[in-house]
Amino acid sequence: MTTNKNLAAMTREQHGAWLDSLSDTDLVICHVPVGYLYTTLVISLLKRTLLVCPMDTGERLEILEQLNGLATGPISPIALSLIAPMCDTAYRMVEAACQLDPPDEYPYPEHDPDALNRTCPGRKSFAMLTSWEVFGHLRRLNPSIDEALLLCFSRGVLPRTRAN
Amino acid sequence: MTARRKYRRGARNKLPGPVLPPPGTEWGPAMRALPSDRHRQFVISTFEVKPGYGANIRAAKLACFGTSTTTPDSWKVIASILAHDDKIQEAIYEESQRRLKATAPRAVAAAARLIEDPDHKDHARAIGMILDRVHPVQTTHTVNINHRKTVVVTTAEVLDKINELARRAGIAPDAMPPPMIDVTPTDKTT
Repeated sequence: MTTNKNLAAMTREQHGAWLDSLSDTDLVICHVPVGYLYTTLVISLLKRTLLVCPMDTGERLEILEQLNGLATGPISPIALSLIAPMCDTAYRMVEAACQLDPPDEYPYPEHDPDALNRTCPGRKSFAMLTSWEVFGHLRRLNPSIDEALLLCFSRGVLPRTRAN
Repeated sequence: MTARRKYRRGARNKLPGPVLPPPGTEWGPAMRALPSDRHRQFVISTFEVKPGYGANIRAAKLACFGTSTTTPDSWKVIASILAHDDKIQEAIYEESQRRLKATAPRAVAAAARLIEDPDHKDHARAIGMILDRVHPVQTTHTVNINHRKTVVVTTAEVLDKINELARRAGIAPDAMPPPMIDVTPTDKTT
């Protein structure tokens, strides 16, 4: 299993060789923008919340509306329905990653387009969860994420450098 | 450069005597603040001259401003300066209040005569005027301040919407726990 550390240490040629060694599914997912990877995790988490947490009708309706609102762009409603709820292990991983974020982080920081080090909320946990190593673990715990991403992103995504 | 000496051709007008308040009364603070008797006389004269074009000039002449040879253009200036002076305007306001209060008994008597004359065209209006002042209409303002959390009423339509959204998201509606009735917040950590 390729770790984040290994990936960071690779040279350009080593990285190209690594890409060539990936399976078709892994290759597709490797090229998916990280925002959509995070969206699949959020969908999975919200489904878990709906099934596990007791809540009143208003909260349930709000969460369902938010969940259905995530089916935008390449994330189709079919892909949304394919993703399974997050399991306990995956939830604990997400919880651990969220501890990287500062506890008193203001959720709506002032937008500064010139800032080099933008501190948008949840940036550290986002980077951790969408990294190849961690997202790979989450994919293995929830194979429906692979199905959904392949459904949305598999058309003509294979890079030209890949030797078929 | 020396200041230009003011050239006055005629003799300056003078008041025949001191300007005194009505017997048994005193000037109010605004009248006392005026610089001279001529100014006080100007204020009193504005109530006595015939209203219309040139009324301020007539009041200024009665107050013995100007000289025997003051030109009409100069009278215009003198009258305008006096009429627009802040202290004189305050004194005019004060004197107006005094005269209105003095006129009030006559207004009340006239209203009473109006009430007694049922054939007068404003008879009903006078009755309404007096009743409004004696027994005003009371209005009640009720202000209800309700601070309420927005609560989604669990109706059949809302439940149908929830089930539909759950089906679209690939969640079996029966798999979700039943909705809470008590809205007391609980530990939301999952």
